[in-house]
Order: sequence, then C-alpha cells, then structure tokens
Amino acid sequence: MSAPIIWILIPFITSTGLILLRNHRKTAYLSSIVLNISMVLLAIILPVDKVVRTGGVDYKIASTFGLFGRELIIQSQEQVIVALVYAVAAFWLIGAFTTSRSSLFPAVAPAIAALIVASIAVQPFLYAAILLELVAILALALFFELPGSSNTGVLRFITFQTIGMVFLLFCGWLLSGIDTAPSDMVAMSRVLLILGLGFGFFLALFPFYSWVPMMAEQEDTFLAGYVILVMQTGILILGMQFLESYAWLRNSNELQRGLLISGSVMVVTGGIWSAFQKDLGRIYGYALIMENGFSVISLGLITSGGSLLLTGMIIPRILAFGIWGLSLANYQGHHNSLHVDNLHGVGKTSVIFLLGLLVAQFSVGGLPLLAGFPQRLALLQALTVSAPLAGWAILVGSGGFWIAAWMSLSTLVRSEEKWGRFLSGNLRVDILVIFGVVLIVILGLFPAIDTKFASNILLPFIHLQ
Amino acid sequence: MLSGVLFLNFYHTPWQVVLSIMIFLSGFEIIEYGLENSLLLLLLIGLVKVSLALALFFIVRRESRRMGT
Repeated sequence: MSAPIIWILIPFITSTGLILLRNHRKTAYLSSIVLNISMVLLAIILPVDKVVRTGGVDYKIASTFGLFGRELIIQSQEQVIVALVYAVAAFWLIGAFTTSRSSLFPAVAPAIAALIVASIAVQPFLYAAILLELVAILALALFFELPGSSNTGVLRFITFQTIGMVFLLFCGWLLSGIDTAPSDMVAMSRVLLILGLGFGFFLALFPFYSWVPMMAEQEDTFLAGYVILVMQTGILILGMQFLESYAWLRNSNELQRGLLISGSVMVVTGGIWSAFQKDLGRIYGYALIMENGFSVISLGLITSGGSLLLTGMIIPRILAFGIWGLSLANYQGHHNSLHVDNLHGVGKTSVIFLLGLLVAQFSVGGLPLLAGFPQRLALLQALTVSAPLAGWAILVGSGGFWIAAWMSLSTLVRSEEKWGRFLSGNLRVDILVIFGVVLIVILGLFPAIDTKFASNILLPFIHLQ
Repeated sequence: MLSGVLFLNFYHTPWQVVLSIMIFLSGFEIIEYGLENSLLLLLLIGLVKVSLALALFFIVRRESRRMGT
C-alpha cells in the first residue's frame, strides 16, 4: 500500500461509484461526506514512509507510486495539505447537502479533491497543469447538470483554463532546456513571458478574470465558490513548486515586479468593481478576485517572507468564502436570484445567515479581530518596505470592497418587517455557519494558530521557508 | 493551435467553443509529439480531449433544454 493509492486512487475510484448513487441523494451525500472525513482522519493519523508495528505485524506506507515512468509522491510533510483538501471537500458537501440541488456534487467533490492532491503529488510537477485542467472539466459536468441562466461564464472558464494549461506545459519544456544555463537572457525572458501567460489564464489574473464574477452570478454560487477556491489553491501551490524548483525564477526581479503589479491591479479592480454590483453573487466573484490578488502579491514577495503570508491566507479564505457561499446559497434557494432588488429585508428572516455573510465579508475585507486581518496587516507591513504603491493599492481595493459589504448589509436588512428567528431551523447548516463564524473569530483573536498551520503547509518547500 | 484560438473569438454556441478548444489541443499534441514524444503527456492530453467531448454532450443537452428544443 502506498500513500498515493490511499489519498488519490481510492477516493477517485469511489467517486466514480458514487455517480451510480445520484438518484439516491441522501445516501450519496452521506457516503461522500464519510469518505472525505475518513481521508482527513487518515491523513492525520497514518505515518508515511515509517515502519509501524501493529498487533505483531510490521507495515509501511510507501510515499511513492509509479505511473508510466512518472511518479506520484506524497511525503509526510504533505499530509497537512492532503488533510486540508479533503476537509474543504467535506465542509462543502455538508453545506451542499442542504442548500444545493446538485446530485453530481457528492461524486465530483472527492474526485476534484483527489485530482488536486494528485496535482500536488505528481513528479515532474508540470503534469499538474493537466490534472488541474481535468478538475476544470469535472466542474463542467457539475455546472451543466443544473439549469442555469446562461453558459457564458463556464465556457470562458474552460477556455481560459485550457489555454493556460498548454502555456504551462510549453513553459515546462522551455525550462528543461535552460535549466543548466540560466545566463541566457533571451531564453529566460521567453520563459517568463510564457509562464506569465500560463498562470495569467490559469489563475485568473488581470485581465483574464472576467469569468469569475460571471460564473458566480450565473451558476450555483456555493458550488462555483468551491471550484474556484480549490482550483486556485492548487494552482498557487503549483506556482510555489515552480519557484521552489528554479532558483533564478525565485530571484527574478521581473517576475516579482510582474506579480506585484498584477496582484495590485486585481485587488484594486476587484475591490472597486464589487462596490458597483447589484448582484450578491457577482460581489462574491469580485471578492474571490480580490482575495486571489492578495495571494499573487504574496507570491511576488516570496523572497521577503511572502510564502508564510500566502499559506497563512488559505484557512481564513476557505472559512470566509465557505460560510459566505452557504448564506448566499440559502438566499438563492429561497428567492431564485441574488439580485439586490429581490432580497430587500431577507436577512431578517434567518439572522444566522446574515451573521455568517457579514462576518465572512468583513473578514475578507480585513476587519480587525477577524481571521483575515492579521494577514492583511502583515502584507501591508511587508509592502511598506518593498513596494509602498502596492500597499496603497490594497487600501483602495479594500475600501471599495467595504462599500460593497455595507451595501449588502443595507439591502438584507432594509424592510419594515420585524426581526425573525436567529436560527434557520436546519441543524446541519446552522452548526456549519456557527462553526465557521466561531473559527473566524478565534483565528482573528489568536493568529498564532493560523501561522503554525501555515508554516506546516510550507514544510515541503525548503527554499521558500 | 492558432486557428483554434482564432475560432474562439467568433464563437456563438457552446459547440463552437469546445470544437475550437479541440483544434487548439490537437495543434499542441502535434507540437508536443515533435518536441518531446512523452507518451504519458500525449495520453493525458488525449484524456482531456475525450473528457471535453463528454462535456460537450452535457453542454449541448443543457443548452437544448434551455432553448426548449
């Protein structure tokens, strides 16, 4: 038995079995939730590459699994990331069980998680680009199962991901050529251009991000949030693998400047444009772009401690977008639209969703004492030294986003009706939202917990620590 | 590959998008075969194309439901 079999092949094969259960919604969701939670527990408990004696029998879980001359490697340092990927899938499955109409999600969620883990584990790591493209294709099935308003967002999504994949594969081929001769300036600038285009398409960098708000508006917002979040986390880890492997790339001033500029433009445009939206789904989409911009800026600061900021943002982001998406999915389910004209006063009916939405939005906006704040502060501190202009850009973008958050609040409470019950009456969703809100507050009050986790995620990246 | 990207600029239906991506990927496959001849890479790109063809089925089915045809 090897680690890739446990955390990639078994969940992937099981997920294909779960497709057969799509007409038995409850069974499918429960089986999928149990599968994902077991994967999390196994990632925490099982030691990789160590001999363990149980009941007089020695056994060892190997870290490597060969495939066509390439290898899938999950080492003990990467078990934290594996646990995180499956925990996110479990969180979204519990939420979607109540709020989503999708019957394919229980099958697709573990398959996406398995492919993300495979993309982190595959060596040479360039093959990750194809695995991430397969994630995008799986997501297509998820979106086209439900009747949406229009296909344009999803079509643009798959188009950009495919073009991005090909650029990254080309970049890998170019990198293998100049690996030994980093003094060739022409080849280096060519690699940087292709790499920039590849990540630009793949990571939805400016100006290739138009599909994010379109998809968040047109599709099931909660599921769209899952796909965008996990894919972008996978792509950021792929970006870190690039920087880890090539010292000249890591120290390239052009790349760092490009990332800082691109990230700042994303934060500013994402933040300001979110303030002018009339659809809460689109605000969610622009917030994802802004959040992605923060990650790209951290990637640009990789030589001055940006890696810890980058990994430190992962947990607060997942929590915030998880409960925000859950609250939106509830409104979407009841009112069939997230346009502000249809949502006046709906926040007063189940206060818990309003609370979840606000805590999530202001955590993303960087309100003090919430989980998003410590990273924003650290990022601003780092930027004041190396790129003050980018620091101002963050403030402007965050300001725009705060206006959007206040607009959401005023829409959701503006009515003559009295305040309704606090809980929604659905135990699963109530527990999930309260769990998320409490964790966001705890991580805001005690940021050291998040920092410890972030440094654990960084363990496989020796040069980036 | 270029013709695939060019077609993308003029798309009106999901059919045209997926077919353009197929043309784009076929171009890549040919270049890749000339460059490195990696069997796994070619197999995976083939898998991507087959999956996209399946996605085409979903896209067209949903589109026809939406149009009521």
